[in-house]
Amino acid sequence: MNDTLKLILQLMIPGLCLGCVYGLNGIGAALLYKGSHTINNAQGAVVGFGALLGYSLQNRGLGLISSTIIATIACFFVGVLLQVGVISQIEKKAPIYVVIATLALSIVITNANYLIVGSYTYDSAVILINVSKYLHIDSVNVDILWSNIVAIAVSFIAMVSVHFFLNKTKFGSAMRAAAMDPFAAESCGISVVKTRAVTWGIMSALGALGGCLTGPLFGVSAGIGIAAGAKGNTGAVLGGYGNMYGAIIGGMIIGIVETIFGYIYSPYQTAFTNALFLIFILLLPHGIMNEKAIEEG
Amino acid sequence: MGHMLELSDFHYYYGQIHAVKGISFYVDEGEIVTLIGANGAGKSTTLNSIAGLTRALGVKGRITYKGVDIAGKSGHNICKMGMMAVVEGRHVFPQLTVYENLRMGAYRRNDTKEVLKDIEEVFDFFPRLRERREQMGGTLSGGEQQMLAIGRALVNKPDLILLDEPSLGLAPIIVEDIFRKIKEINEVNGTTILLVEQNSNIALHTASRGYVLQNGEIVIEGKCEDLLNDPKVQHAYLGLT
Repeated sequence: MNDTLKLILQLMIPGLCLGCVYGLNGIGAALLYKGSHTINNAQGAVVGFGALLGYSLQNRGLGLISSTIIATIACFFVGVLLQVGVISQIEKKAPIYVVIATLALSIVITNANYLIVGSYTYDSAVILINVSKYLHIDSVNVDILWSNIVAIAVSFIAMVSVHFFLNKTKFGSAMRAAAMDPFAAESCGISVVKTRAVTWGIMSALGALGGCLTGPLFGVSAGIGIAAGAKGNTGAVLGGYGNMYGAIIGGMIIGIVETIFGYIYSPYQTAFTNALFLIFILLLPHGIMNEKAIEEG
Repeated sequence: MGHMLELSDFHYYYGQIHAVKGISFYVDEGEIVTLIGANGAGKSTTLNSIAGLTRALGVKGRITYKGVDIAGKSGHNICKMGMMAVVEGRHVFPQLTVYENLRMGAYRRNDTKEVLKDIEEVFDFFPRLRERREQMGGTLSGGEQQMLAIGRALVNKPDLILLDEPSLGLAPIIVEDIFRKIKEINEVNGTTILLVEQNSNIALHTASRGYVLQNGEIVIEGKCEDLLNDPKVQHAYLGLT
């Protein structure tokens, strides 16, 4: 009994941690889809950029917390810039190319990352020094990485903050209104360009935060975010595409499933996740939260 | 100062399609002016362009509001100048409550205390909305949604309200109710109203002046009494022969 519990705990916590990072990326995907019916393929690249930024700030002597905060805020503005500078321009002229444009952005940003730092994976002690300690739970004799716990806690705080921002602030309500009906929002004096820019900002900031949080676990490399961005999207599908809360739950499911299958037979880890994705698309296209946004188009 | 709102030689293009072909009209302060015409005459396009809700690329010509040329400006900036559009099909925010919808109408205002008072005033004006206060906008009936859309515009204390087809899809008894309210807004608050309608009969009985739009051009204009007696208008828009 104790052994099973131990195993589950040891798999669940890292799985949940991974899931939280996917969830953070999924929130952005859900908000974006609801707001402008597009998909951002550049998310993973921004995650990588944020993680690298956080890492290089630490290398210059900043603490883990301050470098994470700076990287997150910087990526908020990267997101705003991408929307205002590229996406909204394309949206104005030829909206159907937005998705392709995000793909192009993804390639550009990822390769810029490679250009700057090369294709190494940095697992410098600088990152690990703060959070590489284990939390020992005596009753079941389990060791849990502190960085896992920190990542889960921080993600949770970030998710709750986004929830309150969207539901309790004036600008958050305006963002929801603009997502429901941009035409009417504009007629109420809400700048839809601005709400969309902030949506991109939030999406990129959450992604960068996730990147910084997983850095200590997997090491930092230029392409670190690609999988996280894609899985965030997958998680959003599981939860019901366009539903932020569904995206969080979906991301967690993917994180846990991936970790458990990774334990059972690791070469097919990703295959299992993608099988799950296919099952959901075929049998439960509205996802766990039964989100109808898909048909509103 | 000249007219409150004036369009001169206004054109609108949907790509290659020339939807509005150089119309000119004006609205003076305190008036109700109506723009009537059949489906596809260009009424909604004109109204949405005034409110900045169409693609700026398609707008040609001048639209002056309070002496400022607003042609091609974006909607949220025009809204700041004291003009509110109640667009066709009501467009309430379906997953916001009635109260939140009204709060969004006052998005541009920062005087929260006054806004709350004005929302209460809207509730006094449309008591049905008070009963539905915490209900989602999307669950309201058509008439209630129309009240909400008008109420949402009123909260911003506009000087000019653009109303697009307030009668659309509503039962005749509710249409009468809504139009009585529109007249009241004009008489009590002194708000200027530009009304776009397909229901020419009720529109001409509500407004003081009217323009008849046909295939993107103004064909007849004048006082509403005169339009009601004009045989061409009677024949084409009032169903009389």
